[in-house]
Amino acid sequence: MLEIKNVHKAFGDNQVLKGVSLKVEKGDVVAILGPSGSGKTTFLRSINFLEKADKGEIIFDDIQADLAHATKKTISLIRKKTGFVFQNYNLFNNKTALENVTEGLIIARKIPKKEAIEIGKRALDKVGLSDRYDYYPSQLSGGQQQRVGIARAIAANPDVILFDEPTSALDPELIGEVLQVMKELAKEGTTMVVVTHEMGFAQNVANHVVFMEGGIVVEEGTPKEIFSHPKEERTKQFLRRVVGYEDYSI
Amino acid sequence: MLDITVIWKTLGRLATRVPYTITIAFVSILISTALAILLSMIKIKKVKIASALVELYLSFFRSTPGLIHILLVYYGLPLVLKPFGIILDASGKDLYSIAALSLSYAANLSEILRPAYLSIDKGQHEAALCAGLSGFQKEYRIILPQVIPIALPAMGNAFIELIKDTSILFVIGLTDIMGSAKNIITNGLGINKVEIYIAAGLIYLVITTVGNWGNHFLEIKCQKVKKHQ
Ligand SMILES: Nc1ncnc2c1ncn2[C@@H]1O[C@H](COP(=O)(O)OP(=O)(O)OP(=O)(O)O)[C@@H](O)[C@H]1O
Ligand SMILES: [Mg+2]
Repeated sequence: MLEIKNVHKAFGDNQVLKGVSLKVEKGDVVAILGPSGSGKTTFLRSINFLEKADKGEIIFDDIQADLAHATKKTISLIRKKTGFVFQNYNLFNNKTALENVTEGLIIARKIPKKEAIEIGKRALDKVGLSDRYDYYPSQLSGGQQQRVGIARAIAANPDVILFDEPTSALDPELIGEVLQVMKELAKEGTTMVVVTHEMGFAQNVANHVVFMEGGIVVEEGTPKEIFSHPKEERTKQFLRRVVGYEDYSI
Repeated sequence: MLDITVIWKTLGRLATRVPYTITIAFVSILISTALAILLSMIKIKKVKIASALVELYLSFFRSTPGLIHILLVYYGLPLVLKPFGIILDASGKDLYSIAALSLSYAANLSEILRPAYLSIDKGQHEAALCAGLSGFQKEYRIILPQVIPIALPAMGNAFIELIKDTSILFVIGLTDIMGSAKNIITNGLGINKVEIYIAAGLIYLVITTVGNWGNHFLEIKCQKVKKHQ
């Protein structure tokens, strides 16, 4: 369904991505793990052109494009097939929760306002915010804001939703509510690519885990393969560090 | 002793110049705002050569007095336009005044607009694009509605400054409030100077008080909108 091939990206002379590829099938939940600075965010952002890769290819259903030289039209097409959830929520501060969700539907997708509001309410209901339609972002907790962010991403029913560390800006007690929503989405068969430091989510919800370090994919496989039988020394080291895993080699 | 009746009579005569003065200020406000938007856009988008020129423009106009701008425009503009076959004579004093105020205030206003625009975090720009909005829709629907309440009160203050600055246009012979006060003094062979300047001052006082009052309301309105940001 979605394939990204051989992405390269440098910031100045800092080569951040050195040929990253990823294949996503419909219904997949892909977790991307890796130490800070390994290029996870940059990779995710280059998929929907928030970052312009120096080299790379994207094949998204019937669209095929060069990540370095895509036309405006292709970029717009791919963005409409993609939802993005940001680490810092990035809600529109001048809009209510419901307006945050409907904005893209009405303005970009030309869905009639009435219908868009229905869709928006349904999306907010789904993330457990049926009582917060008319609240502004400043009136919501971090967890609630991120759930609006998720509702905004899912409302247009995109083919894939990209999550960039959706819980890492949250207070620990608010992480659960967001992960719960993501778990529900996964259960319904939503295709998701999630950059995360939540090992529990990667292990229990994802069906495919990618470990990145130093701008390359070091190892990928099922959660079991990665968490229980990692092959690469770097993966083992990482897991030992973040989860204190000692029993992975059983 | 001050002659109150002179003040009173002068007030009446100067009041007739208020509409003219306000018109010049108003047109200058419109042009300088449009120009400031253009200057800010060039700087924000970092347009190659243009942004260097804008930088030069801003540093000149922001670090030289308004009086210089007026004299330069009045004596300089005809020289600049002459090679293009446009011959300006010295009679269109209101046009020179508007040109000078517009150029001068565009620089000030752009230094209000640009930081206000840049205060909206990059994340909201990206989120708008991810939601499928085009560049223009993003600005129009998401960014500018947040920039305007931030910039407006400071712009209002600048507009009031601009109105007060019309008082130096008399140097090129504009018969605005100040220019006509000068004329009254000249025609009266220099008597009652103080009374006449007091009258002129009172007129400006009324105008700026009304302006400040309006700006105060604007500020409250903006504060209400901004509450959520
Ligand atoms: N806009 C940018 N300009 C310059 N350097 C950047 C930019 N964005 C990222 N980088 C650099 O690229 C490298 C990879 O960053 P990236 O954010 O992709 O890492 P990450 O794996 O997401 O890390 P984290 O887990 O901390 O979020 C880092 O060295 C970072 O400093
Ligand atoms: Mg990151």
